[in-house]
Amino acid sequence: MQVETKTIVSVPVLNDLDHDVQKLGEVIAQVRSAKCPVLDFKECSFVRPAAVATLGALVQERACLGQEIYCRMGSFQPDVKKVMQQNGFASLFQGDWAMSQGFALPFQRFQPGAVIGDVAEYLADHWLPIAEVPAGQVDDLVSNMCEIVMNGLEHSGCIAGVAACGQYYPNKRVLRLAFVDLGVGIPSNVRNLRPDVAEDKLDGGLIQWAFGEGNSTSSGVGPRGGGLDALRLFTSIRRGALRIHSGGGFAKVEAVRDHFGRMNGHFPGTIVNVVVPC
Amino acid sequence: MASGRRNKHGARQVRDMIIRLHDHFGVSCMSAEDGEKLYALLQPILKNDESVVLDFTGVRFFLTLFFNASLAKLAQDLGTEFVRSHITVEALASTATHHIDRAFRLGARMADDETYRGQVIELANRPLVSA
Repeated sequence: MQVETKTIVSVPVLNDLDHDVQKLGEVIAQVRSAKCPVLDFKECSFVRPAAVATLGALVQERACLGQEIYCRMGSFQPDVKKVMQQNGFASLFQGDWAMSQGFALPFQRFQPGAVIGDVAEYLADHWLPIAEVPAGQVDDLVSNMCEIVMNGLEHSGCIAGVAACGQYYPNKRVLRLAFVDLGVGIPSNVRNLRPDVAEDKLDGGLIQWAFGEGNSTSSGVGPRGGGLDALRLFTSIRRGALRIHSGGGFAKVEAVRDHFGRMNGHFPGTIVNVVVPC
Repeated sequence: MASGRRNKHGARQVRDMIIRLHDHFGVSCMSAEDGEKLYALLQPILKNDESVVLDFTGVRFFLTLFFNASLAKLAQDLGTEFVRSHITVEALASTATHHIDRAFRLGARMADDETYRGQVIELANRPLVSA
């Protein structure tokens, strides 16, 4: 009888700063290299939506490949357990874990080939209302979230699609949303498809290029590009913040200025964090 | 934004054709396919030098893909100023008006910037390589 050796992958504290994205990249690498990975959360006392979306995307990726992934359900610290129940991550492993939602927008996956109009209606009618987003803000918010989802589905090549998770903080009146794909990443996409513009640019510079109006790696023959530019405008008007980590680069778009740069480490795909006052 | 044909009181002088986008696309103007359908509706009208009103009443969600495939492509093919002067946009959410301006800028760039257009065509003609 063949016995599979389980590999324990320790999940650290995961905020959504640069070094947290680096840590997420390391967790992904460990899981991908293991035949039978087991997520252990005993060292994790805090998780942000970006981490939940990333770990959920990893679970979905394994499922798409027909590979197992396990979770030590008893390893959750009480606060993290509550969050993971509310955002639906725990139920990916154990369906009977009750999901009292609070203000968490539960883990959601958008599969390749999804009809974007259906995605929009789901987000507007079923997802955002959980966080009690004011009705007058929903349509604009959904349109911009769909720019992110569509970008991920169109350009990432990720078999698991795009994963999302969110949290509303009623005391601060802030909505924090995260969208993750474990695909090729923006910098690699630009390098592969637009070597003429990539030249010797670093990953941050390639993400900056992707923000330019009319810049795209889409293979359509007509006018293209503008999705990230629209997202930047939305962030600016709403006085929010947009952060993208992809490959070895990042973009931070805030009211005052945009900042593009190189991060330590590497993220195998793209994480988009959106923070908007609501 | 396009002006349409109006008298000094703001009333329309000629009976422009009205396209109610909700009738064609429901609450979402998002996909490139729907953008192409709008292009196909508008192109013969404009080529006939007629004006048209795009009525967005009831449309809730918008994506750049839709505007790129419709208004930007029209601007590329027929000229930005011509399209602007023949299309009036009504009941578009204020948070989505930037799509119209961007579409006209992108269309103009495709029409006027030969280098840019060449790059787009070159990418479109690339053989697909699986990841």
